[in-house]
Amino acid sequence: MASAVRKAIKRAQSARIYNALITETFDLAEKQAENAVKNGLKPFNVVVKDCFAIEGVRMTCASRMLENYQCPYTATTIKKLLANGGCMIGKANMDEFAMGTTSTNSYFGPVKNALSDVEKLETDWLAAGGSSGGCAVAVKLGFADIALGSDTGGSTRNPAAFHGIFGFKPSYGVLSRHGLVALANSFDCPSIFARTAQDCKLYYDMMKGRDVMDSTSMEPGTSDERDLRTLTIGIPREYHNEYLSEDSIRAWRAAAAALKNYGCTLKKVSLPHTAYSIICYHILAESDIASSMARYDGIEFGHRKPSEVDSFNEVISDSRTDSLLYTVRRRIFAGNFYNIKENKGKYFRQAAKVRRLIKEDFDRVFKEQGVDALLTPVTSHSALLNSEIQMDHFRTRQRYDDYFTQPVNMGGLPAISVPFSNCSKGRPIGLQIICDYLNDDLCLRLSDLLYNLK
Amino acid sequence: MLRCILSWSLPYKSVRYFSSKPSTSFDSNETPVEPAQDKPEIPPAPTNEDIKLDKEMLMKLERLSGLRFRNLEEIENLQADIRLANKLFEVNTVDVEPMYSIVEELINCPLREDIPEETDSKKILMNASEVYEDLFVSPKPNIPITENPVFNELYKLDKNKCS
Repeated sequence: MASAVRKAIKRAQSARIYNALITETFDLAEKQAENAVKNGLKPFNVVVKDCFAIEGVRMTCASRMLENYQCPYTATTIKKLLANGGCMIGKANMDEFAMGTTSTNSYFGPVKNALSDVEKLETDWLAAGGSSGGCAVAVKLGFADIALGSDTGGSTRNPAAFHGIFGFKPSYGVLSRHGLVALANSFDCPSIFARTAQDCKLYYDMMKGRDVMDSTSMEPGTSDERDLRTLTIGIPREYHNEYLSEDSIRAWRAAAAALKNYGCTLKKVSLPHTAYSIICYHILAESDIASSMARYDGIEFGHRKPSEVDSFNEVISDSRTDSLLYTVRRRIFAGNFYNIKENKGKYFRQAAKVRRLIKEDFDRVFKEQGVDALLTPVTSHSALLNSEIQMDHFRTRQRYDDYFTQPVNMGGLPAISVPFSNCSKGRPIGLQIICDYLNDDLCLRLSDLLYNLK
Repeated sequence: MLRCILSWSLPYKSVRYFSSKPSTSFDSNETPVEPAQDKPEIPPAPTNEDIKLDKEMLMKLERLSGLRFRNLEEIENLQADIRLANKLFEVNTVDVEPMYSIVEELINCPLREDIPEETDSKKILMNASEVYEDLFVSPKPNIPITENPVFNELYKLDKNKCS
C-alpha cells in the first residue's frame, strides 16, 4: 500500500523539470501512508495548491511575501482528506496569490505544462494554465490521485482543460474555505483535479459539508438520480465569441452532438449579461483583494524589508512593493480606487447589481426554461506556448482567458471541465458543464457521461 | 422578461461577439451562431471628469494600498483598468437589488455560544520577523510616506489621458 506513495514520490522527483511543486513533503507523505495503513485505510496521494494551510508546513502562495511562512493550523478540507487516508506529496506552484491564468506569475518560477516538449523545456514550454497550474501537472503526471486547487474565476477549470484532466468547482460553500488563503471571499471555492469523474466524486464526498469554522459554508445538495436521457442541455449563444478558436468550436459542436445522439434535448438559451460579467468580476474581486491583501504588512508575519526609516507607512509600503509581483499590486490599486471615498461606492454597488442580473440570467434558464445543465467551452483555445504569451498581442488577452469560466463564480454554480478532445496541434481541449446551484451530483454524473461519449 | 438594455458590441477593442462564418454554423436544432437580431438602446456611459488620477489621488492610493507605483506604466495601466471598469455603467440597473453573496438567502448569519479556544503564543509569534518580549514590533505610526519621485513625471501622461 505504501508503495503507491513511494511511486508517487519518484514521479514527483522526475517531474521537477516542470516546476509543479514549491515545497516537497515526501517524509510527511510516507508517515501519513504508514498511519493510514495502520488505521485500515487505503492511502492515496494528494497535492495541494500552496494557498492551503497544513500545520507545520510552509505556505507561500507563490509569493516572496510568504517565503518562509509556517502554518499554525490545517485547512478543514485537508483534515478530511487526511482522515480518509490522504498523503501529502507537496504544495503546488501557482500564480501569486491565485491571481492569473497561466501559473507564470510565481516568485518560484513558472509552472510548465506536463505536455510540453521536454527537449525544448529550458527555453519554451506550454502554459500550464492558472492559477492552479502545479496541481494540474501533479495529477496529469500521476504523482497525485487528487489535487486540491482553488477556483475564483476559473483557476481550476482552466489548467484542467489545458492538461486534459477533470477540474471540478463545486457549488460555493459546499467545501469549507477554512485554511484557504482568501482571494475574493464570495467567489473562492476549493476545487478538485482528478483523472476521472468518479474520482472527483469520491474526493468531493470526503470533503463536502458545512464547517463551523467557515460561516459561508453549506450542506451539499441532494443526489440526482434521473435518467440522463431526460435532460435538457442549454447552449448559451453569448459564449460563442470572436476569440473562440476553430478547434474549440468544433469540440463544442461535437460535444453537443454527442449528448443529442445519446438522447438529451438541446436548447438554445441566452445569458444576456455575459459580456459584462468579466468587468463585474474584476470590480468585485479587486475590491475584495484590496481588503484581503491588506493583512500582508510584514509585522505579524510576512516579508519585512529592513529599513533605516522608522516609519510604519514607509516600512509596509517598501516591504509590500518589494515582495508582491505586479499583477497583485495592480489589483490592489484598482480595488482601492473603486472604493475610495471620492467614488461614493458607485463601482461596487453597480457591480453587485450586475452580479444579481447575471445570477438572474442563470436562474431564468435553469428554473423557468427547463434547462438542467449548460454546455460551454472552458477556454477560447488550447494551451499556448510561453513565447506566444509573452508577445504583446497576447498579454492583453489574459483578461479574456476567464471569459467562459468566471460567470459561474458570479453565480456560485457547480461547474466542471471535462477533457473531451484535442486541437489540431494535439493539445487538449475541455468542455464545461454548468448546473444549477447545489446540483453538484448532476454535474458530476453528466461529466462522466460526456467523457464516455467522446 | 429582460430587465436590462445591453449593447451587443462593447466599444473597447472593437470586439464582435458572434462569428460570421457560415461554415461553422450548427444546424438549427443544435447551437446558434447567428448574431442577435435585436439592437437594443445603449444608455450613455457616465462621464468621469470628476475623478482624475492626479498627484493627490495617486498619493492617497499609495497610502491606502500600502504600495508604491514603480513607474509611469503602472499608473497608465491603472487608468486603463478604470476605463474598462467604467463600461459597466452601461448596464441599466434601476430597481435591481445588489447581490453581495450567493448564500445570502440560504444562510442567515448562524449564531453559536462562545467556545473558548486555547492559543499558543509560540505559534502566533513564530512567523514575525521582529519580536520583543512576546510583542510584535512595529515602526512609528502616523508618519506620512515620502512623495514618490515617479509623480514628477505625471505630465508625460497628459497626452495619453482619455476623457
